[in-house]
Amino acid sequence: MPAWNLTAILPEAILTVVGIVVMLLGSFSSQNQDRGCRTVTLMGLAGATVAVVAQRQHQGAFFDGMFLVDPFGIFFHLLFFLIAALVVLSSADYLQAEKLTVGEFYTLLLFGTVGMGLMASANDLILSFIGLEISSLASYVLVGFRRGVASSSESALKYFLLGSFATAFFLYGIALLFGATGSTRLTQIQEILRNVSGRATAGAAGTVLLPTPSTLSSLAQGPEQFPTALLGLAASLLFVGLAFKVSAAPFQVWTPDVYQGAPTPVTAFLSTGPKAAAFAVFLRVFLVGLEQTADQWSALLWVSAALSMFIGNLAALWQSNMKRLLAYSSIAHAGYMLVAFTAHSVDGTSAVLFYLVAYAVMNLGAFLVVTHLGNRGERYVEMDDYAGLGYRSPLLAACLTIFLLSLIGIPLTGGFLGKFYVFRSALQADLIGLTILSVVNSAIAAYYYLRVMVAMYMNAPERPVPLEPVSSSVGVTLFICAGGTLWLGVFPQSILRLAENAAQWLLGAG
Amino acid sequence: MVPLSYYLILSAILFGLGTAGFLFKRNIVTIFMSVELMLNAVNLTFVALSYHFRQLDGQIFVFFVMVVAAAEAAVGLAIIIAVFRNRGSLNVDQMDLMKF
Repeated sequence: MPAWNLTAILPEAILTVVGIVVMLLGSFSSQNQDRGCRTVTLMGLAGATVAVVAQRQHQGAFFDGMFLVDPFGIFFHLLFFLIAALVVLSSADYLQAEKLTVGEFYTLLLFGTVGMGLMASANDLILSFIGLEISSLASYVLVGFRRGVASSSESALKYFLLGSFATAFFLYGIALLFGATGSTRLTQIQEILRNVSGRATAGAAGTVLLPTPSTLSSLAQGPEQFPTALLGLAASLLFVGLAFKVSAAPFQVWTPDVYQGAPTPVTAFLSTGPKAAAFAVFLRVFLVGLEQTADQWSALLWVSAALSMFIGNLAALWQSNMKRLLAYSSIAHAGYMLVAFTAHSVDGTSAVLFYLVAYAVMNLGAFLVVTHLGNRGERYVEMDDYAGLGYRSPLLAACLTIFLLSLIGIPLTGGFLGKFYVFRSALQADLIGLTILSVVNSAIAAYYYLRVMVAMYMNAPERPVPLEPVSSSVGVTLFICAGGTLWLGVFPQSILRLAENAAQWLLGAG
Repeated sequence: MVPLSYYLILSAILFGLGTAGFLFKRNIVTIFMSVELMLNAVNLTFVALSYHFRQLDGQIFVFFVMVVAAAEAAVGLAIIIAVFRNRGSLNVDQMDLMKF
């Protein structure tokens, strides 16, 4: 396998080119060319998907081991393209109603997807960092896309400042990890740490600050040569940066404000796409690169998982704004995924992957209903506006009910099986306390999701809320999301097999 | 020769200063500058380590960080201008449209 092979990054290359084409198309065509931009974007995503599927025959390490084409990366690529396609499909009406420039929006979405793809496949921390930044920069702009609206630019500002703050921590973590091991390549770091811990005899902690060039070459004559403290510091800094990106507690503060102020389709995208990509980096860094230090970081994850679930669910109980409610619920769901992550096993990892897919379809669907009901200027996003929706628009209400039931974790939905796999893997790893906490949290969460349903079916509307007819693109997306949620709940095998395959590859071959 | 630890301690101090600035300053542009200071502290770490290990990986990393910081500045300043147009202020304490 040649080290330089451009087919390895073909999906990213396609999306970049299509992104540029869409940008030009958007700026050179007249106002009513939205449909053209959308078609080109969707075709680009379809082409990239085909390229990814074709890559399954050409797996391996490329660019001197920097970029991996493996089942794990392929799984995430497919998920990202699905998310991006659903967001593109569903945002058309919104963009038109808000009079936003279509070309730029789709371009940023595509560039963000490129960054996410790089994050999922990166085996080198340089590439993880660049992918993270590409996707973050695109998201910052997307969040502030309603330029004239004060809340939109305010949440862009908050996201930008806190995002770059977290990036700096992530970066410092990379620098210190480089200092501790002399490498930024995850698989190399794994090997180095294995050697070190392999030679570690009874409790000789490192007193040497850094390895010298001579110790690096024949890595560590003895464990006393190895800077353990530096490694711990690096791991915690990496944890801070990544926990921020997946909006896990205690680094979740930005989430509600950003999700509330961002245009709703962008919120849908943020809560699924970049979050999944951050999980991909999270899993790769901690399960491959820092595999040997699992004892230390699993305690961090334990605390973060428990905190995320409690903070997310308890704060969501008091929300009346739907976007804010879903933002807090998104923090809680990050907590559930961290529970499975803490298990540190093949089952746990595949549970995270399955949960990400289930969460993507149900959350995109829920946000789509919120987008549609919000109407022009996002005026109707309070829970009171949902009163009586069950009678005014039975179909929309039924869809939202499916998504909410899935978010609660009711059987026959993807959310249920996602939670089931998470709890099972946590139990298998003897995380009994954490499992109990997450079951308690699922029960708390049911309350606020059910409140929305009660409003829809049992309350009379307090003020007249206009309801636009559902356009075909919104209808199709809703159908895909609702169908996907139910399909994952009834026939999870195919996705689960992919997830297991990816997880096995990550933990086994890595 | 200046020992490596001096560089590392200096960059840790700079990173700390950046963090402190981010947390305690009230003007958005100053906060943004604090983030840049943090990034440059990391750059210093990379260069020092790269010199210590006699390998170029760290220095290449610095180039990427500089490029990313420039891109971030472009996006960030655009966002700051948008905020200023909407609110007429650059004080973070006034960024409180969304409260629960």
